[in-house]
Amino acid sequence: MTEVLIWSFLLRLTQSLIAASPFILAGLIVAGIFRRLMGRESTRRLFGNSSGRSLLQAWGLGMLLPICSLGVIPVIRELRGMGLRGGTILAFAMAAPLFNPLSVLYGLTLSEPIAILAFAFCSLIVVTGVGMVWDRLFPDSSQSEPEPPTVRAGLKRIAAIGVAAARHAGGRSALYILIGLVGVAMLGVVLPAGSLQHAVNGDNPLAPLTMTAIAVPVYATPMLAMSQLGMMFQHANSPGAAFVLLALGAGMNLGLVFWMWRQYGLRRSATWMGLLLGVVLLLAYGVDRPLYPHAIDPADHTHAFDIYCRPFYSDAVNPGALAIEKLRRDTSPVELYPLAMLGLLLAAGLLLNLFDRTGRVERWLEATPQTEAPRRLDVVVPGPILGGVALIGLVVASIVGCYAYYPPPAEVLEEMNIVKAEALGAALADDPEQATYWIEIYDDWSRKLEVGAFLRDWKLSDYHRIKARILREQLELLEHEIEHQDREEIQQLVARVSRSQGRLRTAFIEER
Amino acid sequence: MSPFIRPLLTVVTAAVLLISPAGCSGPESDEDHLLEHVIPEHKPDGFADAVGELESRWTSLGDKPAGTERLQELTDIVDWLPELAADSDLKRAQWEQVQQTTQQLSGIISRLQTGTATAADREAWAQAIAGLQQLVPDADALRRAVSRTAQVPDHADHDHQPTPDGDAPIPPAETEQ
Repeated sequence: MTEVLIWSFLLRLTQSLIAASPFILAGLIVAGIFRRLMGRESTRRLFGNSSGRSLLQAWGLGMLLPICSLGVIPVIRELRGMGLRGGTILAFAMAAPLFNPLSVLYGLTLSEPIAILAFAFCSLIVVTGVGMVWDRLFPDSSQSEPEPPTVRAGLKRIAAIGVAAARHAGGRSALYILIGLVGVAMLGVVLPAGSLQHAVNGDNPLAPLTMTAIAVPVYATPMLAMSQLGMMFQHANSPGAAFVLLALGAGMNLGLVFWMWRQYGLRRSATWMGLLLGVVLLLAYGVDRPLYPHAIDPADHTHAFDIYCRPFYSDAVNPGALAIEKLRRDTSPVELYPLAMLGLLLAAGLLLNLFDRTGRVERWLEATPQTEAPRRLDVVVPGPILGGVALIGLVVASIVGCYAYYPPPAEVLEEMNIVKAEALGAALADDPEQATYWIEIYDDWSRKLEVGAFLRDWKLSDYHRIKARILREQLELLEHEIEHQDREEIQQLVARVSRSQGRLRTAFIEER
Repeated sequence: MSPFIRPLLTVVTAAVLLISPAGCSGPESDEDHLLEHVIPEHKPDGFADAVGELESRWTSLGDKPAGTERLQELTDIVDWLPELAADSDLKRAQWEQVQQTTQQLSGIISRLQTGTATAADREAWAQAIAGLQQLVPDADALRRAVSRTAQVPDHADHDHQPTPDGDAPIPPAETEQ
């Protein structure tokens, strides 16, 4: 049993780190840009200074930037040092991980797209409402550190961004991020495998409350949270619990809670958490019935939260080998690049923080004049403009990334055909492990098909939605029959899935 | 103890205490976690079946006041129509016709529930069902095509074991997709 618990912890920690690494990298870069390019005045202006619209601007910026609740930590540490009000910082910290362009698009193709718009609106109420009340209660929450001297234009200014990011990666920000990761890994130790499958059924009035109890230590990237919402709506689980998952699961983690405590003290942090939990629960119960998907047959369970529970049953044999095999199979090579970059930045940061505690590198970057005389056609672009361009570039890159991540339907259908052959072949060959693995990928491609079509047509008809939904429902039934090892049912479902795939192709290629 | 460590330990302990009640239950082996999707008994097998059910259940209602359960089942079948039609060979325009008819039938049932259904509603129901019945042959077009293909002597010896591309025999158009 102890072996199962240790490997569960390690597996969940590593899985979360791999999922978070691109978003943490984005957060480190944004923190460096705020510090070295934008500077204090421009950043404060971007966040609306201390005006009434600062909370709204913080929410808007958070919605656009591709950052998760761990990646936001270095950013809010910079914002804190710049003297922004606590409410604004915490509003940004909550809003940034909830949505990004990629996840919003994904969400709009769910069976209940209105739910995503409602959730976005509710998140606005949560962050602005709680932020406003908190700022009223504690008007003197801001605190500023001395502004670092500017670095002159050129390579040194770019290097200064890297140094700032590295200091965060190898410093206290890394500790807070680690606490967040430990929180979600601890869930994987404490919660037995599959123990949340019935916790958020649509007819359970306690579902939002149960979700609140586990959502704070939960860590979910914006995309993961959105796909979990999709699974919840597919199973007709509680929409209120889904909202809690988004607001607290994606928006908070233990690292953030701990940072808040360190910065604002127990009383202020407890007030924020109390207000937050109160408003989130109120909204969750408010949307629970109106957003319930009545057209869907309730499934009495969900697999959406299996990843927060123990990955193995207590009778698992050799969990170490199982964990390594699972990691190897579930991690694509593409996911390793951001992880490697994060590792390099972390190493650089550790070296800097260990051997240059007094900031000699920064002083050299700030003080040494450029020796090269500027050429006639050289134009010195002010830092804030470059910073603004970099931030807009980050948003534009994530939008462009949507088109690569969600290819056109014809390409997706080609991929689906390959995956279908693998999944159904494994199902017929009595290979449950392979079949389950490929069915999950097949399910994911069916969502990409919808988003890819939506991105290119800017609409997705009910007809196309229901065709994709039927395929997913059949895939899930197939997964269950594979678990039950009912050979006859498996054969029938293989045939049904195959027919649905054919109809899906006709719908998305010939009937768009 | 460092001031950084003490709150950290407190947060972690609080988190563990907060989530530990949820950790007391749950399946503990691979064998006792099997899940089911419960399919209601009155859910029709397909679109054709649903249309038949709508007609027969409506007729059996007659002029008597309908019981809540029977009306609820009728409502369920109407609500399932778009899904069952989408799980058939109907084309987009035909499916949209089904979707429109579903809305019309839902309206009639809600008036029936409130006791405000009129003779015109009964007439509209009959017309709507007649419209759906016209779609039934197309809903099963592929299977019927397959049956015809299966009757051709050249194909009679084919292996009828299911394949990853569907239950045998699979028409060429489908296997190429």
